[in-house]
Amino acid sequence: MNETLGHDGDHPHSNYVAVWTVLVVLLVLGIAAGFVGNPVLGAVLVFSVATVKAFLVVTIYMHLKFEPLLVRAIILCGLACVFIVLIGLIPDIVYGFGH
Amino acid sequence: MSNHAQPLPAKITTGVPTGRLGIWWFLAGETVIFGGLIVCYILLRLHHPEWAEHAAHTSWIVGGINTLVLLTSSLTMVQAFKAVTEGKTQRAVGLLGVTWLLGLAFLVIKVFEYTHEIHGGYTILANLFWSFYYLMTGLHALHIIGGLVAIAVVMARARKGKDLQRVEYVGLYWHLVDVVWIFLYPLLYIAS
Repeated sequence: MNETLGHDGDHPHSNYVAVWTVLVVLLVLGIAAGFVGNPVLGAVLVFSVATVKAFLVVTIYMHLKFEPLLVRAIILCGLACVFIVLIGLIPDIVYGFGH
Repeated sequence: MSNHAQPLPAKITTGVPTGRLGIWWFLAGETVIFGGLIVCYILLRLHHPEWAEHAAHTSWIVGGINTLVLLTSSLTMVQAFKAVTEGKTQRAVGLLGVTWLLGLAFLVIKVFEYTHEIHGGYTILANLFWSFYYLMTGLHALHIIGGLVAIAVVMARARKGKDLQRVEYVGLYWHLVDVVWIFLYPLLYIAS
């Protein structure tokens, strides 16, 4: 995609309309994936598409791909906390939550 | 009103404008809040296959329309930021206004959806799936409302050619609200 440098000098602009078009196509693909007969395959496809959509918004619309390591580290801190929550909750589920 | 106003220089101590850095920290906190909820939901969902029956009562069509509305609002928001960097303040204000209206449209659609579901007996106390549904979508809707207030404030300042760097900051927040919905939609509407 063509990128032109913004006047502030640190945020090149992508073709945002093209990105939006890709996002809409992915939205349709994600909905279609929900109708796949195999529920496991359908879930994998649905969440794979959602992840790609989120990646496009974060990297291009939020310009994360142009941000320095410090900003990426901040977001990684948040994701690391979510991972800790995940690890902390798994035993509850595996060992019979609510039983 | 100036049509060629430039963003005010932001105080920089880390190589990243302080305002932008603060917003990213805030967004990291938001990631923990929504990420924690989503992780809880996924783990419980795997433990309760019967939730599929409840999830089948959500409307993937209405959810899909709202997803399209939010994706489009993200486009207009980033175009507003681009307009600011190009010195086109009036265009930026207009695009912020469109973003605001799209956010409002999302809320209106959500209210109609809630009304239909509650009339169908699917209230927050119906079962754990619906509790998660109303908690996650309700918290997300509160973030939309907060975003609308922030956009209105930034728009009013930008109209006077002031604090134009805040267009980027409110945009970062708005895009994260979009990203959260990108995950809530398949979780609550599609993967039934």
